[in-house]
Amino acid sequence: MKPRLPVLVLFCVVLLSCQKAERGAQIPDASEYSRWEQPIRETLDYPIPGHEDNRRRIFINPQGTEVRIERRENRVYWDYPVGTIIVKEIITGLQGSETDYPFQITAMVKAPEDPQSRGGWIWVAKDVDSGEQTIVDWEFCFDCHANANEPHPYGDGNTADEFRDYVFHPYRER
Amino acid sequence: MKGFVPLTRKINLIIVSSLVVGVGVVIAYFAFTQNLSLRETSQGNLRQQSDILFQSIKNAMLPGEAPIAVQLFEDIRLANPAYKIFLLRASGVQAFSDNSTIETVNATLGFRSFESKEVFPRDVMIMEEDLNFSTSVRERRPVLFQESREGKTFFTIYKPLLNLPKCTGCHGSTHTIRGVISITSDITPVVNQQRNNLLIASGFFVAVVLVLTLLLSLYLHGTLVRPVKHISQVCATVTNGDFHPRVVVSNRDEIGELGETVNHMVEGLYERFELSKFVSSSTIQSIRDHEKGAKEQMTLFFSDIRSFTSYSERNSAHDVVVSLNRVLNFQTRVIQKNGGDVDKYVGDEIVAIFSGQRKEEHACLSALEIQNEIMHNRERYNGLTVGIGINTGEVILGMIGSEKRADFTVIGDHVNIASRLCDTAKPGMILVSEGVYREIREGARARGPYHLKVKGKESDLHVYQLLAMKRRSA
Repeated sequence: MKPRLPVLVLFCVVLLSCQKAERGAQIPDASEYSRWEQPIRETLDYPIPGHEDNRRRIFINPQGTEVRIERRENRVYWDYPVGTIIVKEIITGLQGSETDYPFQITAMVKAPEDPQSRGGWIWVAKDVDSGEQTIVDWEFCFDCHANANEPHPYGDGNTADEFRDYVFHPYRER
Repeated sequence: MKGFVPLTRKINLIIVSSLVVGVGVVIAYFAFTQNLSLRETSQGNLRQQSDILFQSIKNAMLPGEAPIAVQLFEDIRLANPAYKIFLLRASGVQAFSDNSTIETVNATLGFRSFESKEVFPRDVMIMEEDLNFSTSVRERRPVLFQESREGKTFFTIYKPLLNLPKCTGCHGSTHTIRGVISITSDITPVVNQQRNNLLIASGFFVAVVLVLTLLLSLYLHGTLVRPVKHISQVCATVTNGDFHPRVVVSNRDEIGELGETVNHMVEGLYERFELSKFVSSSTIQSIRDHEKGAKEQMTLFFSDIRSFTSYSERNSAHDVVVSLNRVLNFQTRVIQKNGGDVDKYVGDEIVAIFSGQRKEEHACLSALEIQNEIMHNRERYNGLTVGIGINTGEVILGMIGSEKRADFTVIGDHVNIASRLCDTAKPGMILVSEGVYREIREGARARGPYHLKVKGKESDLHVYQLLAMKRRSA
């Protein structure tokens, strides 16, 4: 009798491994996201907790530009559609050229059904040198971005206390 | 038997190994999962408590109400001494232990918003080199770990307190971590419970294995080992020639079936053994050898009681049978002693065959001994006498008869001649053919040759009356 059972078990293990690898959000390549819209055209060059003295450039994919804004019970709610990806390039130093390469790329991926999501978003960080990608499933990114839903010191400051769906620099049609 | 391994040992080995593996795996699994569950519950509780505390501290410290947070820590410590709660700066020094934060905040604001304090805690906690602490600060994530010291076991969680955007107004934007909440919980009771679980599980395992081993051993010994040994003893007794023991069948299973089969086999063997008394040795040998038929040189010995018909008419049936059996018994004993084989009894007649190098001599010696005995002890044999004819030559040996009933016997011309010689011999007389005489004449005393007319033969046969003979040395 041929050893079918071990082969079957091995096949299942490989299949499950593949499925596991495909799960979770993936940060797209620069060649892709660099063609996306930028919610804020300028490179952000002031220090902030979390990224300290490093510049940031932000991109949003086409799904993200379909953000819905509605008023409910005297408060404005921003709701980015599922599949929205907001990429943030982190570039060393507060001074430099526009062509400098990032050392880290972070992304928010709208996937409320994903068990790893917090606040409806999956928070991902990728080290450019090693290519290693980490889903930040603890408080760090989420806690900070939760401040976007109340008045804060960045961008327009959200002085109207809108629910900005954890986004400090919301996309606005130009 | 070489390399004999008792069935009991094999069965006990199987039982013990099965129980050890089976019960061991189950108990180990339950003990492991229970301990894991205990551990996860403790960790979960600690995480949950740290989350609640984290949110409380975060909100309390926001509006510059650090004293509220300090008091909160104190209250929790007092309420539950099993917990040790500290707020540490990223440098590892206990927060609120000096005025450095107040000075930083005042500098960021550009005016003196908070007054320096005069009184500080006496026992200031300073985190020494701790890999878990530095990992928590560097990776900006909670770190949960277990450690043992002074005979106790603790879970500790380090949870970074972030410098959130709304805090940057006072604390500045140049750093990400404002502090680390350290919560230590004494889990010694949980660890003790885990150890007790393992001890209880081990004890239970040993007890279950011992009891089950004993019960299963007794059961299998009663249902398997003892019956098999009993069957073995019966077989050994039968092998030694005693056909009387039987297997006592008490099992209604394969062993019981085996016992019944052995009993049937022993009965069959016994019947065959008894039947073998009525069958010649050559017949038995031929059955063993699956012989179909063969030609062989043999000496034919025919002995017949003279005037037996009139004797049987004069005497009772019982006396006839007794006398006849006595004569036949004696003749048979003598024939077998001299290496002959009684082929069959035909009424009062014995047909025997001798084979081998000195077959004629052995047949003649048998005949002389028989005649001497009967002639000199007439009373013992009720006056019965025998006549004997002996011939030698090639005969056909074979299973003669039908599929249902057959005899392994000899046939052929030489057999008929021997029979004819026997018929001719007078009481107490031994007639041998010329072929026999040729082989024994050295040392034999005989009369003849006489001419004997035989039916179906053109010329007469030369026959001799054997009178005496010396036994040749081997």
